[in-house]
Amino acid sequence: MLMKEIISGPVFLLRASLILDFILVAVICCFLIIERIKCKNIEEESSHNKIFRSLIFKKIPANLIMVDSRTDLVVDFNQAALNHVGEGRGSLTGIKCENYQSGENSHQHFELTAFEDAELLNGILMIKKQLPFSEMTGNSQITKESSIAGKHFFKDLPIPIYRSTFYGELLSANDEFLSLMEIPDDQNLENIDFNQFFEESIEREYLYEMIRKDAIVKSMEIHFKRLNGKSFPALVTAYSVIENGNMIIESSLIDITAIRMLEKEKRRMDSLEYRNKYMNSINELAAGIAHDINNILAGIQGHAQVIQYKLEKDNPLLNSVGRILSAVNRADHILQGLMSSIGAYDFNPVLQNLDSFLEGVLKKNEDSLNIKGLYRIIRMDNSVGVEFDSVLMEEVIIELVKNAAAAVRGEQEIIITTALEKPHDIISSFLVDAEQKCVSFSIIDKGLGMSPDTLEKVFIPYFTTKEFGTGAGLGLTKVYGIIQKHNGAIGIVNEPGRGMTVSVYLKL
Amino acid sequence: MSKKILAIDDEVSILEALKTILDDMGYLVTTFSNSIDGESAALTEDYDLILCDMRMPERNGAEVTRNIMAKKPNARILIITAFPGDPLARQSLDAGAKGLVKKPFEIGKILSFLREG
Repeated sequence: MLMKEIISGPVFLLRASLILDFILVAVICCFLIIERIKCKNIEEESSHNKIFRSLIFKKIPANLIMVDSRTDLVVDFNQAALNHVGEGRGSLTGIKCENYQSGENSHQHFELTAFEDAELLNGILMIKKQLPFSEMTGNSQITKESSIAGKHFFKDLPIPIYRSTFYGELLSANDEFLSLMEIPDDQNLENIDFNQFFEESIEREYLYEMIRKDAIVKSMEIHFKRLNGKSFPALVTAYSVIENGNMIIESSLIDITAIRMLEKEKRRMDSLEYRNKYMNSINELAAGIAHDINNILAGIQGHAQVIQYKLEKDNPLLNSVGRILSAVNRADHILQGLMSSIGAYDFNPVLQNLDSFLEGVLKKNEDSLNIKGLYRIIRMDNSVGVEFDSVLMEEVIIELVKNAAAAVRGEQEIIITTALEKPHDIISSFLVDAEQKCVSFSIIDKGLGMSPDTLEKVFIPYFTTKEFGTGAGLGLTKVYGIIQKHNGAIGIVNEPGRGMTVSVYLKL
Repeated sequence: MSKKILAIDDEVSILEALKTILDDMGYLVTTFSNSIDGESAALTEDYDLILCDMRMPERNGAEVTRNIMAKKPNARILIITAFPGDPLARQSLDAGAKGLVKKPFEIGKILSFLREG
């Protein structure tokens, strides 16, 4: 692995896995202890101390305790130490420590001690085998002095890593980082302003602030931007370290684009499923009501006919009976509309060519739809056959073209296209395989589109934005039911104020 | 000899209305609101016309039609349905029902069918 170096001297590699952290931390804690010695006021909580605490006491697998060398009491400890002396203990703080040896700099107030074996006996922590500092690291080459001299650790790290200042200077980066950010190998890192890699300056500021405050940031989601401008979400883990008196950020990046896309897709599928269930419930409800009311209407009509039958021809009451019968008729029409929309249809699919069918239907209904000369068909020029029910599909085409025509009001052309493609912008799907290629047709209008609220409700029976009483509200419900019957899908691209494209996908 | 009519429909008010009008016109109307009982009656006696609803709780009209036509291929069955597009209607017609009457229906259609018979 090639590391580009700008500042000669120590080159640190930050890594996310435990073993390297262990070593890194050991190294950091080496010079921290040196710092400690320099520090006159040993009660001072510096940022170094924070690194010390957060890194050492959480990350190193060795058993560590911090002992107040004046009182021999344990002031801090890590989980490994606690596990070693016995779980359920809860705390080692305040326990007297025996048999530990102070380090070389024994005038230190707080002593970091690592042990291999210790036992809690009668309220006293007996250290049986202490570990010298260099042994804790597992690598005898890493001594307090050599750590600062800098070494390459774990050359084959698979995670993108970089080092930068807080001011946007990129100091070094590994190959994985360079290829993630699409920086050419021969690019001089000195000329790169690292700040440009952040998609949002707010996120960058927040990251730096958190690093300054806590010295460590773990798995923060930040949007990065590659050299070519494309942004992606990433999880950042970063530490700050002091080097030659400067504060340096060492950070790893994990590209989580794939994870976010999967989550988004799952949410979308869940909402599609929810919509289907919802529509099914509504349809069941409507069908139930329609059936019951229909029976009652039949009863009313039947008896009204009895009266009509029995009255003399000139009886004035015949008028009223007539009114009852025509009211029943009207109610019946409404129910017919509703029931055909929600679909107890005859379904007879036949293998045929959609392009020519579409052309035929449009020609046949040109006049009644008022679209003569106002539409254009763009065919896929493909003779793939697909199965569908002619009667029902004609209804779908008429309904969608009717809506498009109403949206443009004769002022613009309606475009109808056919294609062989994978479904996209799906609003409702009954396809078994969402990725399968389908034969599709789309009705494109440049009308006013729909508000997102309207789009939500568009399949609900009787939902309409047209005036009350125009008989609207069932058309798209019917389309929904028919496409459901065909196990197809419906896609809608809606641009409020600019137009709408409604697509029907039929499986091959 | 009066023509005999059998009407099978789970909705009682429809049966009553039918019976009142048709009785009055001189036909002999027998009604059943339970489709299984109605089917049995169709199999044991001969009727000039059988009127059968489609969606009934015990047994649907398509099945009743099939069962009757199987034993009595000459039976004259008119199915009653709220919705002509109903798959059960298609199945009944395929099984041999002679025609379809929409409900709420017009008595006229039934009467003309009877006259033809």
